[in-house]
Amino acid sequence: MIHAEQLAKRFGKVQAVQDVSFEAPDGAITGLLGPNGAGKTTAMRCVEGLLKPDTGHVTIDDIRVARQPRAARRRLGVLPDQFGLYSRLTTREHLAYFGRLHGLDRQALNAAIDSVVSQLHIDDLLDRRVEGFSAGERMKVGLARALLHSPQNLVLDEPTRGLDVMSTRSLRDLLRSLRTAGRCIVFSSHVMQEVEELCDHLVIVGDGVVKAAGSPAELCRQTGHTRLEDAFVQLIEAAA
Amino acid sequence: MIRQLWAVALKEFIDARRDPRSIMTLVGYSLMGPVIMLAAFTALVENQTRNEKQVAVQHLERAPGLTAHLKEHGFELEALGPDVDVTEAIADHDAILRPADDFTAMLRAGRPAKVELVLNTSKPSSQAMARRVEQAVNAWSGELASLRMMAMGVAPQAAQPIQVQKRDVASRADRAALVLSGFQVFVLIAAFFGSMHVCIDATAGERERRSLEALLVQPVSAFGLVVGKWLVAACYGLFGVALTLTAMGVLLPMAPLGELGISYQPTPLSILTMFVLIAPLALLAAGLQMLAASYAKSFKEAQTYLSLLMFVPMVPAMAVSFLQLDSEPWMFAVPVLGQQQLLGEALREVSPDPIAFLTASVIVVLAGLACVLATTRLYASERMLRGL
Repeated sequence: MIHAEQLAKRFGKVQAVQDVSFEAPDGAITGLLGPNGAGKTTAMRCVEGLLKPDTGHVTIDDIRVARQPRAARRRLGVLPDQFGLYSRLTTREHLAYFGRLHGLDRQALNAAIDSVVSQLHIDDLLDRRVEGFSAGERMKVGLARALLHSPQNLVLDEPTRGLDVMSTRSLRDLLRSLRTAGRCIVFSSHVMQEVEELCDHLVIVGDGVVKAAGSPAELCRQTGHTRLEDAFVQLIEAAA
Repeated sequence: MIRQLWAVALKEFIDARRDPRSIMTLVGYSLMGPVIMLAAFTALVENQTRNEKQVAVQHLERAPGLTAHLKEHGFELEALGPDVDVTEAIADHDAILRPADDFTAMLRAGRPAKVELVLNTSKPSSQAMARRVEQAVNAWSGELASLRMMAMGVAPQAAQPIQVQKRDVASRADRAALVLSGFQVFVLIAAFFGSMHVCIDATAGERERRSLEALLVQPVSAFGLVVGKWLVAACYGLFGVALTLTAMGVLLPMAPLGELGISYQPTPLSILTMFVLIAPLALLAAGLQMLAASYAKSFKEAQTYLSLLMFVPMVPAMAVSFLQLDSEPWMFAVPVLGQQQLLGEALREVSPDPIAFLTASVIVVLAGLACVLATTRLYASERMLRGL
């Protein structure tokens, strides 16, 4: 469970995030939706503990991120924007590296690798170098890395960017199965169909504040639109 | 934290080993120094031992005695026509002699007879040849002087009241150290070049390839990350030094140093000693380069920083080398300069002073650690995310 409370963050003269609060419960997919520059990435980085909010705080499974960043991160898996892989390493080497950073010993590491490999069906990628992987394959390796230490919470930054239909579908299926397994999933996006299909709960962010929150159906009802896109535009523009 | 540190070191080691550019900079720069030295020595010796004696003479007929003397002393003479402009002809000859038109008359009259020696001091071969010609002419002049004095009943020794006798006490090893001092800079630079690419790749390169964020969200301490990267980079610096020293050990005996009156026979032990003396510098080189590269947003930017930075630590060592200052105790306390002094002593086959070695080593290791701490602060700060 991830809980953000009245986050604010300023960089010099730019107020990147002004007031963002949301709650992402276990067993649900929460979408952070907003136009470019709305403050999504800054809010996500506060969740990951990379940025310290000026005011407000984030808790991950009731651990305050700013106070105990390492304890919080142990319960968090992250799939960053563009996946962030090392092209000269093989998939197995990636997993071994990050598993060791999480403190897994050899036995636990091998078990964890076997588990994510079967979960993501990446046996054929395991001993190949990442160099030359397709976007879909990279996404899978990045996701395998994020899931390796079986975190209760998963954060994904625009995970479907650059993916083809097949890869997008397999990602969607995977996220759904993780939800069924009771994990807490947060992802940021600006692709409406994606969000509409996947998310149980939406947080609309614009100009550094939360404009609205609720399920896709609730947001449509609230604005009187039938399409989420229309609802989104109205919510962003209404308060602007 | 130790386990994480090793995880980082292991990963960076694999990553660097597979990067052809890391290996290329390491091997390329390490071998460059010894190869240049070998080529330079060979060329130098060839130049110095070349004992050709050729001189062009304009108006050969004006000084028959002089030309006969030159021929006797092994000079090949080439007659130049009277219309030839010597300032142009010097381009094709190393030295030209031009007796004045009253040469023989003045000689007979017992007054200084003038002969012009044309040379081009910007050409080393011309300078050397002119020196040989001048020596030969002076020798003949001396002979004539002695003959004249004897004719006047004066002992020729009267004109030479003092005779200087040179006695060179420099050992062959001392002379070798002077000739090989250029080599010191190559060894010092190898510590920097060896780790340069790895330092950039592990910091600015990681940022550019966007893997930095994924790394920073792991439950790791910035110190563990930085130290892991630092150790691997320092290892590459050590490889660079070891490779340069080994190449020197193999290549220098091939150079004709004996012809220069010096002998230098590196033994595995002397090479190993030099390696131990320089090794601590690799820690500073890696730390300093990593700190600078961590500020850069891209690989290229980091390269620019490091190519400038590279020369900063070299300045004291180069200054001392240029100014030809004698070794002083304080020099061992200056990073890089201290290592250069130690290396100089090793080349002179002076056994290293343990106190000097300890001082120099502790100082560079501490300076390296200071760089690591500064890099750690940077990695732990939000500044690191800027531009991501």
